[in-house]
Amino acid sequence: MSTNQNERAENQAVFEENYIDENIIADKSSKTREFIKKFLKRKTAVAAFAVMVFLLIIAIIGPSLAPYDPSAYDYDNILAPPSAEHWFGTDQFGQDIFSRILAGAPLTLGVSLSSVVVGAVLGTILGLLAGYYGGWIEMLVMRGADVLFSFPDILLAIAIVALLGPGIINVFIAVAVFTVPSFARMMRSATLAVKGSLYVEVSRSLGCKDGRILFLHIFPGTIQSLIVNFTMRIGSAIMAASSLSFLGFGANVTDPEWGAMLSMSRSYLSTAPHMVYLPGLVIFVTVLAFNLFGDGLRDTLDPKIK
Amino acid sequence: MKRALTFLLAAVMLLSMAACGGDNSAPKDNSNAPADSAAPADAGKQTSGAKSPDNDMVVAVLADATHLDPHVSSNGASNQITYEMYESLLTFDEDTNVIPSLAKEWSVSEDGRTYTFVLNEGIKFHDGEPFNAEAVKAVYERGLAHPELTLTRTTKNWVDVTVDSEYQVSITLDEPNNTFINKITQLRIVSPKAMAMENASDYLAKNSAGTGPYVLSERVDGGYTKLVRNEDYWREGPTVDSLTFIVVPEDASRIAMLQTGEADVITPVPVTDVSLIENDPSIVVDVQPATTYRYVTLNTEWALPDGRKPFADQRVRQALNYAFDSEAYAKVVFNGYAKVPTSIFSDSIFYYAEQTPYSLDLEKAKSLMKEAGFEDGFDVDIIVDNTTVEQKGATFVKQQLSQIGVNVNLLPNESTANAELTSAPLESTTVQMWYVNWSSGSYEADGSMRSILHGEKVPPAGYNTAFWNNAEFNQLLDDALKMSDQNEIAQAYARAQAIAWEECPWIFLGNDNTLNAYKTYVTGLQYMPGGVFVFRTAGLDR
Repeated sequence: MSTNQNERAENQAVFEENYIDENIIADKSSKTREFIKKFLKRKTAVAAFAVMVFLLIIAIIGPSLAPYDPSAYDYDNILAPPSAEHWFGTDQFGQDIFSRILAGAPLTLGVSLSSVVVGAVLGTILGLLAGYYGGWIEMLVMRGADVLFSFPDILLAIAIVALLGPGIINVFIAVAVFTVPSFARMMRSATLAVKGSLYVEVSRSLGCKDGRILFLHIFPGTIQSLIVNFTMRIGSAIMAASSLSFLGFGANVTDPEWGAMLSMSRSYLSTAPHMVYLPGLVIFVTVLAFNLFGDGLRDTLDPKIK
Repeated sequence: MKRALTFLLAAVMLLSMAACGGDNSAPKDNSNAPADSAAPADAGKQTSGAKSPDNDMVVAVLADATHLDPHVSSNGASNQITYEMYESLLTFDEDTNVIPSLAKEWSVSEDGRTYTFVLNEGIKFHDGEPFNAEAVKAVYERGLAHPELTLTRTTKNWVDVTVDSEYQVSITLDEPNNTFINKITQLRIVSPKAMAMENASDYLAKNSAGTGPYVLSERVDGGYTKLVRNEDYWREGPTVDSLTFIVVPEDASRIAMLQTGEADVITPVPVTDVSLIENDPSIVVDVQPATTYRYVTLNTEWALPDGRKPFADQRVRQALNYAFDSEAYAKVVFNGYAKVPTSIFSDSIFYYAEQTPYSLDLEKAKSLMKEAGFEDGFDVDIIVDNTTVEQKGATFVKQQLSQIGVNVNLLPNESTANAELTSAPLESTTVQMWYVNWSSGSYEADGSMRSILHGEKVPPAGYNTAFWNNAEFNQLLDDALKMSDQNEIAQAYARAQAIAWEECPWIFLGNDNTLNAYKTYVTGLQYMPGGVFVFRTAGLDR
């Protein structure tokens, strides 16, 4: 028994050393280079990528760049239109809108990004298991996903938040929940495709354990579609998080969260339109950047689209 | 192609975000049930389109009526509509003096318990029934038979109604009550035949059975309510053919409807948008002194995690008032259309007595906090309705109190959810602060204080969420009801106001004006400070 096991482990090590690692590594650098070359040809996607990186940097260091304290009010200077002192003007309390948008970036982007990460991790694990094992696990996961899919994203999120109560943490949970099924479904089909490939069969015949096959051999094969889906979902997560805050389910109205800012400024649409348009524009540009970047990635990675 | 589509989709999403949502941003009448549920927008647009000069009056209102039975708990919108269909024995004029209506004269007995009314003759209800003393008695009997109706709030202190003759009726009270005459103006007289029906409320939701100048014609829930002129009205009646109330929750839409002439009258005008129409020569903006009083209740029994009760200390409560700049509040939150508070209710209420305002004095506020041992401040939650204007006001409170280290956390929620939280008794209440407002439809001092400050009116009996209980204050209110000498009553209420003003169970915020607007061709329109228009005398002259 023990000899058998040793032998198996040895075989596996030899196999991986000779056939997998080197090949993949050698392949990787050229593939990456090829990918970058292809991606750079897509000008919109590159621009979107630049905007996206810029926004992420803003989210990290932005609050310290803010010219004013985002919650400092100035009742003598309310609803001031954009000017040299206040680039984006001031709001109904005389707070500097530009500073609030900067201060709100980590909130809005943080909630969206982290909820997509959590949703993606859960969805990926479920999708991998469903695709690999099939049977009742697949049945359970996929039918569960179908149920969640039957609701429009935002409606589902509203239902969850209505159940849990308002608050930014609950928005995070809601967005994560509606992100899970899309990843589960995508990962299942990707797993099914890779599962039948030769190298998976080889590693199985060598006696690799399920966990090892799943995470070392199958998962890397699905990573392309994972990244594309991930980028695309961030856009809709930002939209959903802002919408929930706009509807009063999310961030506290006193927080500089972008959706909450829009919500509070809506009644000034006709008298102080800068209060609505500027935060709206920032949400718009952010969602657009993530979506265009995702588009570019997909087009580059998909062998069928040249 | 794909990119264009993405672009388009993102744009559509953004636009739909900006366009959706429809919360109310107007003061609401808290003396009625908090049920101002937002109706679906634009449902009543059937009657839309720029109007040709006809004789139909169209009024765009914020909220739909919740019930058209005048004896059922309802909201301000219901009150406005039922006001046109039903009348009471007495009513208010524009200056809140009590004047005759269905009764032409009245008198009170020596002991102050029996009121005798002489009724106008020859009046018919919409269903053809005659109006007489028996009809008044039937209203009292409905109150006895149906304690679930809000009607019983008025009739519960009555012990007898006697029909002296066909057109003379006497009402006897259990004890003298000088607010009776004011309260009787809110008691709508309904046809005895309609009230005797098995499902009277259901019938009255679809039919009018009053004596008023307008008769219910058609109604779509959440959409509109159309009334037509009562051709058999007993005195000089309306000159317009019909009167339609369209529900338009979105502020900007109401303004636009007035600008285009789709609506002849709009109410209320949001203070944020008044600049759009104030210079329009075809529009009159009517600024009304409101009886709406805004305040934040301070739960005197609420304890911090360490067991200390900050609001139990009068110095802390006063400090909050000294830290609050009510002039800036009027300017920032109400665009200048509000007054600084000078007592615990509005100066348009009877027996108002002016107090010295707590003008902004941060040094004094900080030293009071220090004396009370709270120089480092504390964290506190504030309950607030999730409409834009309420949240804006509560945010202002947060900003002001941050100056003395009090860190306020907003808990915005639906008004119905807040009603549940604030009606919890002391043992289970979670209310620390409540941003709220109060208005009294009967303009009297008792109605402006009792339910919100009397020691017996702590939840669930009333709305005293400060859980403030001052024996002298309670006694003054109880005694004043039984007094008949005007000077004594005024003195009692003045003393009561002074006590509450000194003790600060609330942060006193301000009284905001109600703004209405109408086309210049609308004539004879009156507005009662309690929040209803009088359309009987209104006409269209174009």
